[in-house]
Amino acid sequence: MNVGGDGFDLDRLLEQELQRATGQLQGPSAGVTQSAYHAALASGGTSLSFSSISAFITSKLAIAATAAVLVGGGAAVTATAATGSTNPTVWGAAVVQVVQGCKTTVGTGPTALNHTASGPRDNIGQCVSLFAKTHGATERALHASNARTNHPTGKPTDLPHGKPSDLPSGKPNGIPGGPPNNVPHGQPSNLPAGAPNKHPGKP
Amino acid sequence: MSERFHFVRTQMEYQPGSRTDFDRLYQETYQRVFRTLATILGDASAAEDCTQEAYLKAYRAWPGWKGDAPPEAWIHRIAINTALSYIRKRKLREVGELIRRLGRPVEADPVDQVLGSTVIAEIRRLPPKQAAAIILRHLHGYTNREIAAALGEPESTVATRLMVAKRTLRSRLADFRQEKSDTPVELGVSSLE
Repeated sequence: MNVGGDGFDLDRLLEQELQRATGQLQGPSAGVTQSAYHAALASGGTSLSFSSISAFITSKLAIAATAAVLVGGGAAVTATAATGSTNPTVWGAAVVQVVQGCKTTVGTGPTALNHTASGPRDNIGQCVSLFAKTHGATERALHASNARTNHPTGKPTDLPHGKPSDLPSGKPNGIPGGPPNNVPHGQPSNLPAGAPNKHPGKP
Repeated sequence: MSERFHFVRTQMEYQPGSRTDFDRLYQETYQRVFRTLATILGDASAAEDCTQEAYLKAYRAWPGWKGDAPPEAWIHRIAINTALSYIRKRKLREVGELIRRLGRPVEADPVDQVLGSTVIAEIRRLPPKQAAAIILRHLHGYTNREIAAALGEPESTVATRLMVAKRTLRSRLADFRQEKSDTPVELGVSSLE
């Protein structure tokens, strides 16, 4: 008991406030399989650096979010947004992450606990399969989009349209192109400007 | 019985170097270590990073653990040192961060909102080792000997730290009480008077 002359019980106040404030706090990686040391062991050593621990935690959160969206039937666009790229290399890495995520989700989720006829391994397969299908849909949508952009109408053809020309295309707009060069165009003429243009006509 | 004293009895149940025992130690102590660091750092992300780094360091050192202190105090020692190191680095970054964020609205950290009471704020204003001693005593119920093991200091030093920390807190909170005498609920002391 640490009560001051004014009746202020500091010990009790500290205990109450600390319990109240931190009682709500839950660290996100309470499971052993979610720990950095476990990840380091799985990767063949315990040499994870501080930055890689941060990256590990961040990627873990990203995987969880991605897996949740995909398992929930999210669209291909969401999958692309999850990786930020349609690059095959990036997708390859994403697949590896999703497999790990599926292992975690399915392995610890209620499905695994139920021991259904299909079993956790099959459920992991379904989880990954869903991701693969989603990726396929993304690719098809992307190709379709590119085709529409590059070939707006008609069938594609290898033949060039029209002859090549050195002439600029389009109508003149009255604005000279390029900077002025102060060089007069053409040769000087001895003829007075504005001289009458007389055409001898027939009498 | 509160979880606060559980760790003391588990000291003899762990085999140094045993992977299974370390996994169990992680499961039993993770949340408490995380809460300690979250209170000291006031940043959930940083607390999680430091907690994970601490367990990684601890796992490397686990085969050599001699059992001369409760394993949770040992983990706390590693975690608090990791947090202190993080605080030192953070101070170096703060100037740059301050410049970068000038003119931008500050986004409130959820942990800051949770730990937003005046008392917690004052604990975090203490020197980190004093704050750690206060947290270990009043959140986890550590004795001076256990705090000494967690901080790697003699018990006499711990006693001094606790005394100085409480004197500082009493002074600051008393000042605050005088300033905000019309709103005692904010301090959480209305029921104590």
